[in-house]
Amino acid sequence: MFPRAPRRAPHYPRVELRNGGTTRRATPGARWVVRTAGASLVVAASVTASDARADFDFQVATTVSGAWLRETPDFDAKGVTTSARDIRAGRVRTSGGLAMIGFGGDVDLTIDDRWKVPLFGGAFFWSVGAYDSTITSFDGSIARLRPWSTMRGDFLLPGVGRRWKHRRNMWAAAVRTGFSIAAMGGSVAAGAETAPLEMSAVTFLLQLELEACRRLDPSTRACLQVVPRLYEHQLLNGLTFGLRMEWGR
Amino acid sequence: MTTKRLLALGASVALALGSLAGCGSDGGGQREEIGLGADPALPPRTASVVVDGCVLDTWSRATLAGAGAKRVLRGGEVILLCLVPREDGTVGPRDPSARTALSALAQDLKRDGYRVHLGVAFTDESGQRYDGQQTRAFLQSPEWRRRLAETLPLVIEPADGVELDLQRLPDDARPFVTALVAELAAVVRPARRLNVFVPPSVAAPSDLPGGEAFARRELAPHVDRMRIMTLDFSEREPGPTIDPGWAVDAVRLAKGDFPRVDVSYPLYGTDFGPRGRRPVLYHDAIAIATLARAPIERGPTGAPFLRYVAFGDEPHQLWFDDAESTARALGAWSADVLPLDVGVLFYGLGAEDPALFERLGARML
Repeated sequence: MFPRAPRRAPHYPRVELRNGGTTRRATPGARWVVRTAGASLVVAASVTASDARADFDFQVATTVSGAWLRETPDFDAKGVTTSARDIRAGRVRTSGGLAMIGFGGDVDLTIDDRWKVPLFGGAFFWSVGAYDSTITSFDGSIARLRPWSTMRGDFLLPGVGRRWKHRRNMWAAAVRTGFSIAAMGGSVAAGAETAPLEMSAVTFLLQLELEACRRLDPSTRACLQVVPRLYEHQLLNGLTFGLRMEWGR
Repeated sequence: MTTKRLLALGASVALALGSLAGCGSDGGGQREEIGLGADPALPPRTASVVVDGCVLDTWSRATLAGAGAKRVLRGGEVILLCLVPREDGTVGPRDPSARTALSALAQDLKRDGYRVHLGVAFTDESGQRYDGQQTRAFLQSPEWRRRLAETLPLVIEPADGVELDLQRLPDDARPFVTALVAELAAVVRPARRLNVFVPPSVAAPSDLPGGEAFARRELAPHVDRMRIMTLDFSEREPGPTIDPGWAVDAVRLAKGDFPRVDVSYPLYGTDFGPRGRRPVLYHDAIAIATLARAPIERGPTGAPFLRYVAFGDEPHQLWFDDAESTARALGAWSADVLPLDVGVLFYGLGAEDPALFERLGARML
């Protein structure tokens, strides 16, 4: 009879690695990978099984909102060639407020059902209402801007906040960062002709998100949200306000 | 629960789609960042005005006596474009009565605080401008230039300076232009100023016929200011008399060669018809608009214009300037676009919008 070979060499422990004839314990990096993977499983479980209790949870939200930009920023215009001259890229001065409407979505993380960590999100706005054209200049040429063609994209980055619950009601406040890009159309004069002008303005964004919510079912809330823009091209330069639907705990 | 979620999702999507239907629209008006209605004041610049002749009518004299003109033209000159070199090189007017009248006018203007310059316009005695070849032939002659330099001091006695208005020269007149300016500088300066009108080239070598006749770097040691003649932008096709952006390019190019330059702004308009162009006054434009019942529109630069049908069913376009279009251009020439040491030369006193200087003056610091 041949003896049965062992299924695992007895000197080959489960969590030890052989290295040049010597053995050592698992590295801290390996432990971090294992723990992160474990945490991810827990997070995934909490997302998919919403009635499971966990320390943190994800929630997704969509928003339909109006926006008010108190002061339209100066725009960066691309270079343009007209029948009269070549104009290099430069700055175009403008002013005046703007009303917009738009929609967006984002993903938040909630910790211990109290702390709110907005993660990533985005929103898209376009102007509403009737606006006069703006007569301004671009490197000495007369330019005409069309404020009603303005569009704005917000790219929301992480922030931090707190939320409070009472029965089916919830209130939350968070501060978060991001970037905002606005674009406006226009034209520049060249004698009796015009040439199209493409303009955009990018800014760092800091906003305060305030919301009041009511739970519709165990995983859905309807919220009214007001978001003062603490910084958008300049201090306290407007706000957004709208209806927000949240899915999560 | 699923039903509620679906309802909420549906409501969000419906709201989003519904709002898509509402977009911004043109209100039909204008909000001005530059111009008479804008908040920022017009950049403070030294300004001068050209009078195409030796006399001021009572309207123009009253304009210059007004507070608006004094405010706008502070630090600048009133340029009377009336000196005429004759074929033998002598400069007119030489009649004692004409010189007396000119001197009296200059003294009168000086009492209002203006400096008075006399411009040398190369025209014949009938007022027709010499063609470039004839002017070149004059300038080429050392004897003609010597005679001009000899006779000029007598006629410029009442003035604070002299302006040279050479036009339509061929490019090969360049050495003679430089020689003339150098020789006149020797008799005019430093007691008086010597300035020269130069073509509004926007490229080097010049993009204009005759633009190379003016060697700005060679003229620089002999002149006090160069007036860049940024006028008559539209020549073949109907359009504004000036494009402010084009004027910026012309001034920037000249300023690279010589620091003390002025940008010109037209006070007159141009009527474009089948039989060519014709300069017009502001009052002409308003009268034609009224008679022809033609609405006054504004072009892309803000210059007003009108389309009308003249006698013989001739289609015309008449472009001119008013206080608003002028204020827009001056506003567009902000300090970051044109340095504040660039002056403004208003060309054609008497042809302007009567409200021009009062309204510009009110917009200046």
